[in-house]
Amino acid sequence: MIKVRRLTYTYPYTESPVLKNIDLDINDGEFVLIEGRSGAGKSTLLYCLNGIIPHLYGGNLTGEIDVNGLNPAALAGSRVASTAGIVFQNPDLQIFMPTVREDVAFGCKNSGLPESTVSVRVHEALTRTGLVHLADKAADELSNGQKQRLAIAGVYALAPDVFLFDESTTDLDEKGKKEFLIILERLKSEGATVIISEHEPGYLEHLIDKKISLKDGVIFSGEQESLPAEMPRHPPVISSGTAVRIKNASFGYSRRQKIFTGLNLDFRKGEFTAVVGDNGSGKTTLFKLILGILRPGKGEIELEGAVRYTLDDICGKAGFLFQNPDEQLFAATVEDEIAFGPRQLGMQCDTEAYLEAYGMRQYRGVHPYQLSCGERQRVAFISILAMCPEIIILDEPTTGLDRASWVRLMDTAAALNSQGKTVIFSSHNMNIVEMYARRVIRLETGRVVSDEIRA
Amino acid sequence: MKREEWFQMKYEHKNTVIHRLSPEIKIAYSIAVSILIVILNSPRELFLLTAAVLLVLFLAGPGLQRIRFLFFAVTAVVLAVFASQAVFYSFEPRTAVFTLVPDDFPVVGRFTGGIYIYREGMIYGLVQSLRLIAALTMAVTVVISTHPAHMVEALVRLRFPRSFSFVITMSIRFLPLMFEQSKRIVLALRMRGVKIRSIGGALRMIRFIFIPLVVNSLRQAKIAAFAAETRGAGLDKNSPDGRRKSGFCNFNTFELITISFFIILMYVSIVPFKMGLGRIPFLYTFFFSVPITCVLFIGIGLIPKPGIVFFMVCGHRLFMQIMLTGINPLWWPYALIESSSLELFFLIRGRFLDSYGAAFSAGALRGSVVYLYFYLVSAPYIWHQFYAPWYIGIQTFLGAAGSAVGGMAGYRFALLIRKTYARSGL
Repeated sequence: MIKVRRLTYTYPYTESPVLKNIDLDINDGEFVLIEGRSGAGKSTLLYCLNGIIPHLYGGNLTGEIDVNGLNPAALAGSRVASTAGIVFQNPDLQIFMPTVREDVAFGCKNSGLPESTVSVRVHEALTRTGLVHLADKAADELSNGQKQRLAIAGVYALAPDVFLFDESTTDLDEKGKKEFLIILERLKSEGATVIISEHEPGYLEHLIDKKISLKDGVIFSGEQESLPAEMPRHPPVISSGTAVRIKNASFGYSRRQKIFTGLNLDFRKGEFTAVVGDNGSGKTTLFKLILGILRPGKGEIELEGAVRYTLDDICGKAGFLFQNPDEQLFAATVEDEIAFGPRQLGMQCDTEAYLEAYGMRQYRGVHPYQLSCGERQRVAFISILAMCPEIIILDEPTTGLDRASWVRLMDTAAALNSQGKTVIFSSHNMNIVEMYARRVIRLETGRVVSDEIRA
Repeated sequence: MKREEWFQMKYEHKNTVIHRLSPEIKIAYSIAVSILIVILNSPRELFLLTAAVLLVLFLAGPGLQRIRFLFFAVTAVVLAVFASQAVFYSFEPRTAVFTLVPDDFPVVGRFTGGIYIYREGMIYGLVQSLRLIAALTMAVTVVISTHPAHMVEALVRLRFPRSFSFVITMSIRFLPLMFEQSKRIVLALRMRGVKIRSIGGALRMIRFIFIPLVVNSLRQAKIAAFAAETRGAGLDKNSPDGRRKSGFCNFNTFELITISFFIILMYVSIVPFKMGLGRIPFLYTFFFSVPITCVLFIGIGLIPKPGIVFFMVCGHRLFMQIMLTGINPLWWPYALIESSSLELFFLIRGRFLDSYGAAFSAGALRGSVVYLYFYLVSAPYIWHQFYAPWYIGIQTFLGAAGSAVGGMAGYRFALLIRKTYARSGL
């Protein structure tokens, strides 16, 4: 049983609390969803439940937290681990040892468990997460979905009373999400208490016993914003010209690791295309080939009439936005960030017009890192648009964004598409694909398995 | 180092007799070979040692590709060392066996007094070549047959401090992530029109890469620290079961993981200089010192605590040995002297980096200590290489100047990163 009373928490060096007077009761075996927009306090609440706050974050915590009769704030690290285990978003940051087996044993060994108990726990955790056959495999060689299962196994081996998941499916593809869901179903059937925060919880509906909606640090009883009903929002403008033509292209990172063999694909000007497929299916490689970052071993790729081009040749004609905005921001203010690309190309740029058009005027002098994740991604996007590209490629640009943020971002892309720009994007979020894409190309291990034009 | 070389110096999962040996035995093997390389002097003894080391390599199943790499690397080394020593050997007595340029040849002959191939130079060149081949072969054997993390575990069993070993483990773990991240940042910059067509462009590029790379790394370090602590790592001083609460090297888990990111950055930062500016003859000392001191000083600027220099410098040295060259304690005093001189400097000042002047002085001190130690101790006593005093003087000056420049740049970056990180809301 988890009991939270009058929980208020303020991060160090900030003035306003992130959580305000939270009261909460969760019964043993309940499956609880915590929902809310980015910055609502979902992760902070989870961190309070397993002692990361205040042990590792510091800050000011008041109120009471009781997890099965224990106060996480007063527990030693290893006791916390066996009371409430947590799985984070990025699996790579949760793996510490070279092989699957060793990594699952990491926490048990740290807790000082005897070797015989460790091996029993490790075997149990690997069985439960479906990783037994990979026990001696190098952790680095696992797929993202398998890595996340490994992170769960690491927590499972510590036999916690409560499992916490902090947006743990964000980096997973459809297959990874399905594997993850199977583990959640198993945990539910075993009677484990599970608390999960998710931006896209649709796939969990059948498991949820209780929903906790957070808004600005307080629990509220209203409805969370739902998906916009009208779709797509902007009529497409498709011309007869070809933006990108891929003719019989073959590519592999090595002789043994072939990704594409004889790939033929055309993208017409003004199309709004989604490229979908599991991790490793070749989506990012396809984009890199289109952009001239990689060259096909055989065949030819033509972009806006140019063949045998490099990235430098097409810079400005094509823009590329990828997942993490923080890897794409370089200037000290939003205004400078927007002007950065045009300045490098010696282009004139009316930053004022861009700030105005995309509703970013109030952030003109703000450092991009001070903005929320969704806004940072928008700044990165606008900075690319400032270079006036005709083709816009978005590689999983909405990962980690809440619903409101991705709708704003994709609406911007749709508005550009309605002006005749060609948009190609990839996403694991099928809601986005359904809402925006006019054409959906599905890749499987480098092969186009379906290519549909939507009405 | 080229991409192919990175690939060659990577652990490969196999089940050979060498792979099955415990890491402790391989550490002992590395140390024994390293010491023998230093103490053996005759071509015959060194030839036997090299043959034995090659035999061990073949037992580790290196594969055709790696053998081809080794063959070309070894041939290049042998030719370069053998030829240079044969011609430029300067010790007496020396016997000329072949005349390349007679002393009465116009200009060059008159200026140099003639260029000859000396018998003693050829023998010395052969000895030095065999040393390098043995060292390279030993390194490949150990690195391809031992997972770095298992090497670290062995060091823990050999009583290396737990937190220090944790830093090395995390550096090994996060190296591929950091590589991927830096590649994406470079790609983002290129998409925004930044081109590397000059040294100025390259330096600008480094500036733009550094800040997002470090700020992102700090964010990731925080999450990794949470994950480690919630799995009972118990390294954090704030954690009630933290095992270190005060004194020298009093770092929490977040700081330890951050240090590991900086060790990777030190490792990565010298690569472009090894391939480009660092190859400029004579001036390489200057160019080599700038990036490594810069990253070191960013670390000191961000984690100003006693022991930070020791963790970063010694951690970097050990990380390099685990990843590339095999454990060789003969190089450890080099790192210890470098770190102690800087730790002492900050201890005497009573403050860490708080001005460009402090960064300049600390950088110059670092460069002087490192290069004087190298030319006066390491080179003659470990590598059997001797340099003229004027050359040592100039190289030490260039090293000190490079480190001072790198130190000031590091201080500047640390200020910028602190500001940016504070704004990033963590």
